[in-house]
Amino acid sequence: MPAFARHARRRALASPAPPSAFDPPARARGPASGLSASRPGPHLLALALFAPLLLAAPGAQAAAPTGSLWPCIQPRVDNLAAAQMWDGPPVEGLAWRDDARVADLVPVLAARRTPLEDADKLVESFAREAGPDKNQRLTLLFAGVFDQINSLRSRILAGIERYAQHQIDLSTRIKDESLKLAQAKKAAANDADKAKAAELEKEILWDTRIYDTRSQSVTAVCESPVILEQRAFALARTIRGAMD
Amino acid sequence: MTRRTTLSAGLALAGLLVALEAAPALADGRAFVSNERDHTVSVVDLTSMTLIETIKTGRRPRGITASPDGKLIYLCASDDNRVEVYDAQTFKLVKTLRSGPDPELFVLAPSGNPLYIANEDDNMVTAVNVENNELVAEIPVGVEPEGMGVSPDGRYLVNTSETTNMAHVIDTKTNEVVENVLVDSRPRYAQFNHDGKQLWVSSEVGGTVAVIDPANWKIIKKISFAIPGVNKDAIQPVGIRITKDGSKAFIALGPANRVAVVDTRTLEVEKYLLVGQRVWQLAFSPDEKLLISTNGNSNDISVIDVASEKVTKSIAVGRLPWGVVVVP
Repeated sequence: MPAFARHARRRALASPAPPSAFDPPARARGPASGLSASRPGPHLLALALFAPLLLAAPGAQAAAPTGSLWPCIQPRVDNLAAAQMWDGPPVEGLAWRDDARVADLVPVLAARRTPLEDADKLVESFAREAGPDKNQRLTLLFAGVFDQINSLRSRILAGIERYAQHQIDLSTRIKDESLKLAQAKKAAANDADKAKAAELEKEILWDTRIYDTRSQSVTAVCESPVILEQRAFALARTIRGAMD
Repeated sequence: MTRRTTLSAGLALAGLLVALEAAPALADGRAFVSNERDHTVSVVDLTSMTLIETIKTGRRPRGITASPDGKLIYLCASDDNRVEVYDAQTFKLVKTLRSGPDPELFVLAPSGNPLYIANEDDNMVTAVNVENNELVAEIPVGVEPEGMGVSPDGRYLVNTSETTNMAHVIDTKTNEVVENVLVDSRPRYAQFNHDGKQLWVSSEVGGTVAVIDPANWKIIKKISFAIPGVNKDAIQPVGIRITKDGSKAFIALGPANRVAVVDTRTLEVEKYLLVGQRVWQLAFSPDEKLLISTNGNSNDISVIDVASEKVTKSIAVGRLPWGVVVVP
């Protein structure tokens, strides 16, 4: 990788945390329901516009091609490894949903709309009330948070590739439309033809605008998996810190 | 007599107050952390474990070091193609030094002069006199020079080149390359131990650390790392620090988010400490009780208690913390 690309990658890896439009709706119950929502940031609009592209049908994930369509400077890492953020007991295959309190709390902690300071407090209060199996239950809690963030992240990876495919399709369409416009302008014999050409021109302008806006958003879009990883790491640290 | 005593006592008290004011709570020192993305340096007081100052710097600050007396902080402002020198007490910019293009990392001669700077973009090491900003030498090395280490006696300078995958040994008397040691892919950092009998070179992509004997520049051992559950690709050794007594080495492992503790006698890894995300560089406190790591992706530093080999705290700094130096 050339030096400039690596530098850009390194820079991009430590992004500020723009709010995400990717969070699933918080199914907040119990103490979390009154938490304040995080404030929108500069990329929110762009992300909100294209969120449907990123989070389309979950089934599309398996079909998404890997590698070739990846538009980001960050390397595509399919799955997060729990061990990269957790040095507690193993979490693979734990049935965290069987613990009702854990099952309630996981989506609240995982959702980016829950500020990390609030998440920390929720973990603290969970730990206080966890009883004699505190360490085991905190491990379950991390297993759940990790599962949830990892699967959301996987869907976003697939979504980013669909986003890239849309851009490719759109650029092909703009090219075709431009050719058609040139021909239509040349062949325009009357006002009706001219009106048609003007209409086509409008369409091209509109498509170009969409294309440009999406291109500008690609940096923010590409940072979303990194932001999720940062959140998973921060939560892992808090949960691990609450263990004896 | 009484008046004189009172006066001198008063002066002494005033002096003490001034001293206290100038140097508050410095038992463990202060860490200066370069934040590559914020174009700042964070100053963290290691006694109170709090961020006490954020200094605006040139663009893309990376390599950071201190003068031997701890009074000056040298900083590579990579995108401004210069070295900036800050007063470690007042945090004011004192002067700037030439650096050659795109300075990333540098090392100060043990005597405090000159400063040897790796120029990533033009395959050179630039030596600059820190007193008068004069160019001492330009030494051609391999492609994308980065890591810089100097032997404790100042005789040998070692530069690693990321693309050529070599540690270039430079004789500082002649400023010429006298040896090239082939190491694993993308060597990042070079560090001599304190008696100068070992040179450690980390390879980020190769995932190893080569321990080299400076008597013949041969590799004694390549240390590799394995962390259960962590993909091999994520283990990327970068920063290295070795204790003064030569017993332990600490190695930052990048996106593995861990610092490896290595027994320098057996050259075996003893344990891995989970720190922050994408751990990059390391620095000891002057008394070596603490080791600080910069964690580029979690935007914080971790404080490691050296004796117990435990991570005791993380402190938020700026975005993309890169380098760190601690002064008294």
